[in-house]
Amino acid sequence: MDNGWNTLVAWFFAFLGIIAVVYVIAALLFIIPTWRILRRAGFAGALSLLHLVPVLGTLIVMAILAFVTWPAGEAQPEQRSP
Amino acid sequence: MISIILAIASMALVVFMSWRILEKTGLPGWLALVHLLALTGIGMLASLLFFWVLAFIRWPRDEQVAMPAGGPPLPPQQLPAPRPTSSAPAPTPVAPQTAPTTAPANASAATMSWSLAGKLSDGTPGHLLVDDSRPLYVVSASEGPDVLIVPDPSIGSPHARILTAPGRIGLQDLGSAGGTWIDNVRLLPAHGARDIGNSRQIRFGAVELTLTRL
Repeated sequence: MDNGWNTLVAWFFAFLGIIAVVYVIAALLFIIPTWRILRRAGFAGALSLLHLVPVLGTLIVMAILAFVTWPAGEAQPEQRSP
Repeated sequence: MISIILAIASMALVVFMSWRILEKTGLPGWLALVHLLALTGIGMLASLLFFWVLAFIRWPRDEQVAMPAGGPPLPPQQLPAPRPTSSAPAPTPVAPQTAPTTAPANASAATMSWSLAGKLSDGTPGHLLVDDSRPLYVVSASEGPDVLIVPDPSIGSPHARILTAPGRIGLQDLGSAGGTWIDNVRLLPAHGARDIGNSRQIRFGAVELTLTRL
């Protein structure tokens, strides 16, 4: 009985581990480009780690980029494409 | 029903924020409509495409500078000699330069570029663009060949040198009265040239600039 229970727990945590690894890899696909965008905008690249927060993280990062003045400067009106 | 409304609202929010982000880079905001591709079933791939393209595309913001570098490179021996801090005269204020001009024609996509952006002491936004196609730039309040003009009373003429090598950027103070700081640490002429590739805040006199690798 104990043996069966231990096997079940081991499988459960192995499954959780695989899910976590897949999730981190998927998040990295967003973190890498966002890190570069944030650096170019003048923010700390580490803010891109917010992508690790499901759903809300991506929205928060985008809100920072959209509504906070960029320390590295924004395009002037005459630089903007129509 | 509620989930559909939430999905539409979040999609609209993402498009709106992306529109603003694109406009800040100088790219056309309507490109944010790429997020609507998510409705075709490709899901998060649309957002993924947006982030990857935006990260590595050249931004119009970086192609024009308000305080330009002009003229051919100067050999180092033709630069004005550094002057000691104690005997430096008060810097002469010059009229702020507001009309932007284009970046140096020899800047190419193969070169590494850095942006120095911030505000002058009177609050006027300024933006310097440096790339490693030139080995040397001079930060100065007055005009001259190969000079990055920073029209601020706290800037000396010359004030500092920006030295570049492939993939690297350095800074050397020329004994200006206003002083030069790297991440709030004073850079003295005796320190020589310091690598600022990993630095963030550069201060010339009263002008605070944020260094960003492009």
